[in-house]
Amino acid sequence: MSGLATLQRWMQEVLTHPAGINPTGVSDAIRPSAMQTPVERLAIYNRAYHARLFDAMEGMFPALLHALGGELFRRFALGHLQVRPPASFSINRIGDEFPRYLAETRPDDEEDSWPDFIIELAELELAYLHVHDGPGIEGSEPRVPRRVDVFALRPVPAPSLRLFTFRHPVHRYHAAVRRGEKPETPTPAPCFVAMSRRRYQVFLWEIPAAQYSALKNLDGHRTLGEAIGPPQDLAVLHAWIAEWTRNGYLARFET
Amino acid sequence: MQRRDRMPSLGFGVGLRSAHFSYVLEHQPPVDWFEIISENFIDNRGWARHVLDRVAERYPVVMHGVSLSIGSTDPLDVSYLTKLRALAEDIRAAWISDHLCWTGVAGRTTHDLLPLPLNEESLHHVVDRIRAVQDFLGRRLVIENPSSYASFTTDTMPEWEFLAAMAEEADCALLLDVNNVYVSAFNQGFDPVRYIESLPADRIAQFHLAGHTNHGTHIVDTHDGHVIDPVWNLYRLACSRTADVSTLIEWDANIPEFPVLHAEALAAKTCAPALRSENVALETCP
Repeated sequence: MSGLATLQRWMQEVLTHPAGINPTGVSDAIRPSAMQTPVERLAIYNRAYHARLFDAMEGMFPALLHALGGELFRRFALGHLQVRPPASFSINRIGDEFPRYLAETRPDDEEDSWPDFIIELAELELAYLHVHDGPGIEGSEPRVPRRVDVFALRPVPAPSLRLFTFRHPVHRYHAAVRRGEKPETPTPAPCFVAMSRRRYQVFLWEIPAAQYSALKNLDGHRTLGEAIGPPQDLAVLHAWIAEWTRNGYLARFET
Repeated sequence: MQRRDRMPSLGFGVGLRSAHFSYVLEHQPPVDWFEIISENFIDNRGWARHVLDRVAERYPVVMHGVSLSIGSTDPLDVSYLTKLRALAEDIRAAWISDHLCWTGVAGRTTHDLLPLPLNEESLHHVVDRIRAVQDFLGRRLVIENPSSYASFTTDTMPEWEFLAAMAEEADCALLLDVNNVYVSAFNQGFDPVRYIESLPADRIAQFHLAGHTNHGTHIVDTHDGHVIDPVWNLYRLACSRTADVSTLIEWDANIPEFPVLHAEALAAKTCAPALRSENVALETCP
């Protein structure tokens, strides 16, 4: 390994350490300035590293930050970043595995639903970010075909459609935080939620279980009739298709 | 570098930041050009990319990166470079710039612009990688002087000497961040005037101006306020040594309303041409 490679590995280890700068060897590599010791100089980078990542994580998970409070949020964020240090060129990806980290480190107490609320909220906020910045249907919004057998339609889900089953109404909690409110932790209440994007805005919709199942079955190959299964009510189906199109769930219809 | 190879003169621009997206689309302000942070748009297919496409239809756009990590001893990230090249082609970027720094090693990134030891080993390493990147992108790269808070016991040359040699050997252009010169001069104890006077003026393709935070013992490059008078003075010096170099105001924290940002660019505009044309009194500048 070259001298530069060795130096960079050492320096990265020192600068990213959560406990601050370990002074061992610092003076051998870093010069003092007129007003700072070598350790003080590296400490600027150490503080900046953690501040930058915490700021980014807090910006990505504002509702989770509210739910946890700043101190606990940073404790979890630090744990996550130690297990999975940033590796992407984009700082916007540092939270991609945060819900997974929370799930992996969930306390064993199955009776306590609060950890599940936290994990579900993290999953929702991560999906919100991905839908906001990911591909959408803007400029190619579909129209419901007329005079066709609606059961034979093959709706293709929009790339921005996400479907969730939650044990807590985290979508309402999330919306309240985004409105600037300070909601209390909700009591468990199972719900089905669709996330979609229209005109570059992300929307969350609480949907009935039957719609969730039908939407989950859509893959661009199945017909609507196959996705829904019996019994099938034509009037209800027409209403669903209109609603799904209006809400941005669908990219197009294959016939 | 031959005159014919120089980057075009774009005038006086500002950074395109999400806080101003709606304003820019609605008002189409008379800014000469915009600079983007490349990584904020590379994988984006949402509102940010929509705004960028609209902006690129109307204004020249320069791509300024923070993740090239040209000084890292990790292999170059070909996936990143591929995306960088694709975005540059999509928006017809005037040029692509990044920093003389490394951001991470061993497959990790710190998302910081970390300093390199200023010695022959680093110089050869960086020159080789700039050449490789330029070959991959099919265009000349523009490399910015970083702001730094530490220096190494293995340094053997001043930063201006490193940059001049790097630009010559790699045949790349330079982005002279005047605020970074001021910040690093304070932190490292060198003379900022000597720094600017020692750089090869014909390699300078762009200037950056920004605000910073002085902590007494050190200065941090925070991009969170107006350009201060000593930096304007250094900018005047830099302008007097160059001709028609594009200038950009960076403002990334405590971001003001767009007209305030634009006014800062206009302040630079009142400064540079006067110096170039008549060598007039410097008090015409902010």
